[in-house]
Amino acid sequence: MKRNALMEECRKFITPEIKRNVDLSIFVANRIFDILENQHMTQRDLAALLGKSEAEISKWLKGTHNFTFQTIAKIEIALGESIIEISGKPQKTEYVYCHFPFDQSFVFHPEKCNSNEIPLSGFGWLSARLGENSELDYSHSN
Amino acid sequence: MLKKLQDIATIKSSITFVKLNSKVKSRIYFEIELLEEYEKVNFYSIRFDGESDTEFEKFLLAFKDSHPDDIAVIMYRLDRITQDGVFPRHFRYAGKMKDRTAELPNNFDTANLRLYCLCISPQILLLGNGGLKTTKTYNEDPYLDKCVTTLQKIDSVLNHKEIKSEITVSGKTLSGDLSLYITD
Repeated sequence: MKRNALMEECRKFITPEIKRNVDLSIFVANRIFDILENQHMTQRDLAALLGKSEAEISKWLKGTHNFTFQTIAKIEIALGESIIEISGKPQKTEYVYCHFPFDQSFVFHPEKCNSNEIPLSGFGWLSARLGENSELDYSHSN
Repeated sequence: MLKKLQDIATIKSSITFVKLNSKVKSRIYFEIELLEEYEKVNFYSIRFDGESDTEFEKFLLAFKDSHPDDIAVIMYRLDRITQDGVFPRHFRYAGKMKDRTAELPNNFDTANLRLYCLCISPQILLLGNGGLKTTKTYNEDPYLDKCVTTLQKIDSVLNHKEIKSEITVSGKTLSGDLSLYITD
């Protein structure tokens, strides 16, 4: 498959953030387009439902519009379908500041974390991530 | 007296000659070149006679150092096109409804770098030139206007050749004699 050297050189400017940004905007545009097609609706129908111009809807479907959550919510309500869904489960991360000795005998007792402090000697930051089963995955740094 | 009349006639004929000459349009020769090929889509561009770079390469060379982020967005949008195909709805129409000239807008319309292209088919994209849009419409900018009108003329030539089957669009390939010319 033929490749162009200059184009390849310019591809090096693509960052993961740019990729994600473009992917998300194209995803939202394609999703709205698919819903309209499935519901046998036109861009004009959506424009009428939202009180927008057809040109505005057409611009949205180009995959270059920076949607606000407010606009997405309005479109979702007008179409009766969700455009984006949040995946994954919420994780609760708690950070506690405590004093502790830096040796092998250190044992973390979350029940002693009253007022976010463990009454041990020494000092340092300790972060405790509370997982689904309240198992502690902790690490520390000086 | 006769001499004077002869002189006037000579002057008049020269004027006519100049007028005729100004009406003769010059030919600009170019070649359509395959830039990159992918499983679903091929990218083509135009190389004008005597030039070392294609129009798209000229665009990249002009802006890669001054606008690397905008170039990166355009390059990634092209990468997406290689996966999804050439959807005209992802482009903004430039030119007229009857032609296939389109503008690849930069993301979120925050940057004003515009790339003009021809959406030949769902599998063929011809990448042209472009630039920074500083006016409300591209027509107000002589350079951008030239980028678009050049593509319109090329589209017209291509259309004509396609109708006459001198150039064929088969899948992601343009076949036939791709050495063509437009008039200035």
